[in-house]
Amino acid sequence: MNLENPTYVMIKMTAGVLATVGLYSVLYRETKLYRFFEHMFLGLAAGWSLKAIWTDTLKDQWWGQMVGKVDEQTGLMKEPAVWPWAFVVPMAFMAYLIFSRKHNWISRIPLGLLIGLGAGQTFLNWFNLYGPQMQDSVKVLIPTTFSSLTVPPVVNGQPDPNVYLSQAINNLIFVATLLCVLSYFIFCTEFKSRFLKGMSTAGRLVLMVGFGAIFGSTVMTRFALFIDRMYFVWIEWLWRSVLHLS
Amino acid sequence: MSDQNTGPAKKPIGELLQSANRTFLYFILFLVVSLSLVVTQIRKVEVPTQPEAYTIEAYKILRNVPPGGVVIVDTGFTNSSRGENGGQMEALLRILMRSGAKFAVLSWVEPQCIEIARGFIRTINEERKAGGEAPYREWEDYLVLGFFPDGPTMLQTVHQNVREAWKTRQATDPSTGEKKSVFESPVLRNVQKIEDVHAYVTLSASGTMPTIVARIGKQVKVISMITGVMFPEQLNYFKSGQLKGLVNGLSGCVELEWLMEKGIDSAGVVGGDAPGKPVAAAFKGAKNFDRGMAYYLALHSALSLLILAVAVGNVGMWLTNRSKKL
Repeated sequence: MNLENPTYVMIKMTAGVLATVGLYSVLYRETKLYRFFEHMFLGLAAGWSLKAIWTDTLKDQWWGQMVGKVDEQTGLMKEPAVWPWAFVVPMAFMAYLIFSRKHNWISRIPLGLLIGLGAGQTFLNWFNLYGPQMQDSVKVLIPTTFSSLTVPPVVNGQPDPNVYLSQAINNLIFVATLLCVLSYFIFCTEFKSRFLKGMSTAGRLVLMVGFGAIFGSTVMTRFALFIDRMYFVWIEWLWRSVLHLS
Repeated sequence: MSDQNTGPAKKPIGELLQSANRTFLYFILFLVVSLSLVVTQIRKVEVPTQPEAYTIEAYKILRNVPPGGVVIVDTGFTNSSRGENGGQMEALLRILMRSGAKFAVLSWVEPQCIEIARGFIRTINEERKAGGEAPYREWEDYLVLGFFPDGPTMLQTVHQNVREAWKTRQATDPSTGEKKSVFESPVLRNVQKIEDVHAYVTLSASGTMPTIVARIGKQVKVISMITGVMFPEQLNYFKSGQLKGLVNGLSGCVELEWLMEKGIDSAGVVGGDAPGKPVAAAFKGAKNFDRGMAYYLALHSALSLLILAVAVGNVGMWLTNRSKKL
């Protein structure tokens, strides 16, 4: 099928516009129109996923390996069949025995293998993930030079090893925030000192500021998604495809 | 005698300001966004921006991939986050194709992602053809490695042996019409280990990046192009040096387009004209502003509307509280 055929592109885009309008109709009320497009989307996504899992993964990586490859010209085996791959099927079906009251213990075998695999990797990778961040939390709090209060412009792209006053202040704010937030999560003992109580309260406040900033960023994403749909309807479909404007 | 006050009680102004009809607000948002998009389309509005350090670092790496250098594009988004990841993908493809870099696309998040990425490659190829440039050819210039259902394990294997991790992946060689191992393709022919790859770019709507960084972050430069939702938690990884570049949602996409237009001169200034070899050159005269800039005015209008709505609601609350005290 020629995916660049203008008629096909037009039909595809018009269907997209109808689906967009149908799904946004939920803003007014949950109607049958919305339900129709919602179910259509779910059905399409599930169907596509099944197809992709077969073509991208199972066909080459499992079926192809299991049955091998025959050279069409000579009729000889080009790649040998690795028949033990057949054992993967009963292993996979064992997971479905979770629905059997009598045999559900069998499903724990493949699930256990998967959990073990994941846990092993997590253990191995935990330090790779958080080690550098813990290391980066140790910051220089005293300026190494007072030649300039702020960081001078970069010359020839070379990083300046000095710590300037403005950087030291930034580092101090970072370290103070880190300690306050960590103190907020100490639940094993009761803080009696006013200083520690203040730290914990400050930790809660900076967390709130952080959540506010995250919320702002989240709002940008939600708007961007809505803007994209409107761009699709007004510019890509109406402006370019229907009216043929540049 | 009839009662004179039978009509509905009039709401005080404070309460009125706090009880705006939600459907009405949606309608205003729809109007504002639609109008901004049409104005941008007609007037070709370019909202100025100042790229952040993390976007600049991402651009420096991508712009300096040598011709023939290999980049892995790990796509983890579907049409649901096209508003942010779509523009990022288009900018990424333009940079790679104009630099002559080769790239391989894979996904382990969602099977649809591969088809979505193919659509973007098709679009940019059409643009190249229309501009008189040679389109990128599958097998010769880029590869589609397909979907991996168990991404963490695949990446763990890539960490140890990239050839083992992708050994079953095949693509069609157009010269013979035969399916061959992806390592026979000009794209991955010289890749013996993951260190031979110039950058690993992940485009995602969710938190896939830590899985990548934990496994191969020390071997290859990882760049994350993400939605604004995920940005705050990923900034830590850039600050600690685990991520070499970061592109934050729609604003990051605009920054990337801005850098493509303006470049970074030899003194490290965006849009500067210092003599000498630029740190990351611009693509002068090419189509750099596209999806990101097309949405930017609408984003500003929508955010202004939101701020206005929050301000009106707060004024209403203040008026209500004041009238209660009186």
